[in-house]
Amino acid sequence: MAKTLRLHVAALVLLSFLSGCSLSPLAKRTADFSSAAAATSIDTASAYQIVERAHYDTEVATLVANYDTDGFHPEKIKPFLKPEDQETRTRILNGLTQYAETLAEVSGDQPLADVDKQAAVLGNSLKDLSKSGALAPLAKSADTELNIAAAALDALGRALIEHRRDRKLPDILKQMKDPIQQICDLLWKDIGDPEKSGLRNQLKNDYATLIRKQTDFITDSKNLTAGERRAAIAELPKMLAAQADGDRTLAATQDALKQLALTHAALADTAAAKDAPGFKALLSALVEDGIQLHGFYEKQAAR
Amino acid sequence: MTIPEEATPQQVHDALQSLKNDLENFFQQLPPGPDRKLLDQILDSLDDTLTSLNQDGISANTVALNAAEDSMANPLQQLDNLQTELKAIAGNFAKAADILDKTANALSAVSSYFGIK
Repeated sequence: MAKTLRLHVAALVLLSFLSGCSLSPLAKRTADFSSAAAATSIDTASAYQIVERAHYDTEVATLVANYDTDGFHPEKIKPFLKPEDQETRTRILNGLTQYAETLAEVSGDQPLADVDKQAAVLGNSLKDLSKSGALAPLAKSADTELNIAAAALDALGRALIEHRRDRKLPDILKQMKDPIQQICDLLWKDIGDPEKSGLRNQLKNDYATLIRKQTDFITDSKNLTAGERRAAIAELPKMLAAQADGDRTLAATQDALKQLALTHAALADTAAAKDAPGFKALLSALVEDGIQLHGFYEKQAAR
Repeated sequence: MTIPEEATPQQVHDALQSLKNDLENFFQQLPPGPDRKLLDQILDSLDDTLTSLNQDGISANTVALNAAEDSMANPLQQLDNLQTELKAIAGNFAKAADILDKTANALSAVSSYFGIK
């Protein structure tokens, strides 16, 4: 009876080892994708902040310029995005980050690590037991049985988790393909074009207004000292540079969003494939875009 | 600049943007004085209109974003369920390993009690 059990358990262990103990190709690809996706959605949220900051500065500059004729009207300072539009984007971007983070948890090796950890604790107890030499024949026999059972439990746990994950994850990824594509397209559209629409156009116009108000200030303020005048003029090229940097950052965010949708689609399409070179190439581009984008946003934050 | 009667919001935007760009350039060339003040006010009005058009465009995207968000709800719930299932499997196997661990410890305790070496 014990011998039969041992054989069954050993067969299970062998089977599990043959099926591979490391992450499946899909789980590995999903885990790699999820960290890049989380970074992109967090950076996209910053795109709206860049424009809000420039818009606020423009509203303040206009209020200051019109103070002598209009008086102080702080109620005229309004955010660029309407509250309901802002709320939707915050919710959507949080949802995207949450999706990426949950994907990372589900496809990562944490559940497997939990099983491994407990099996390792058990393994140590068994070692102690065999060292004590207690109940020699009984302990030896029980030790062997427990050792096999421990290894089997670990292997079986891993196999079950991998099986469940590989069975359900492809369908979830497939269902998310269209919504992710639509969301990335719409956020891309939000960012728009410097001449035609969206955040890039707003940023361009806000900086043009800031420069105009600053020019007005320089020409209208006759009592500036040479130093003050110099400092005020020096602000003009800084504003131009800030506008150019801001637009580059927004354009890079658009590239990252496009890449995110393409990479997610490739992940969903290659869920059953062992190798996915196309996905890997897209993921590398997404990671590269992410690094570049992060650099742009760090520069913006330092401003 | 002519804006067709049945113009789309984008056509209106394009026409106003082109006017604003020209007037901004002209503004920088004007000497200080009443003409420049007037142009400044016109440009402020143009800015307000272009801002409204950009805001409207973003509001239009909001409707579509909300629809896309709704279609994510079901797969996201499935993903949450999968996460819970995997945690439960890991938890059950960890529990089984714990029981075996306790068995090993019990064996050790029994051997110590009887002083078997």
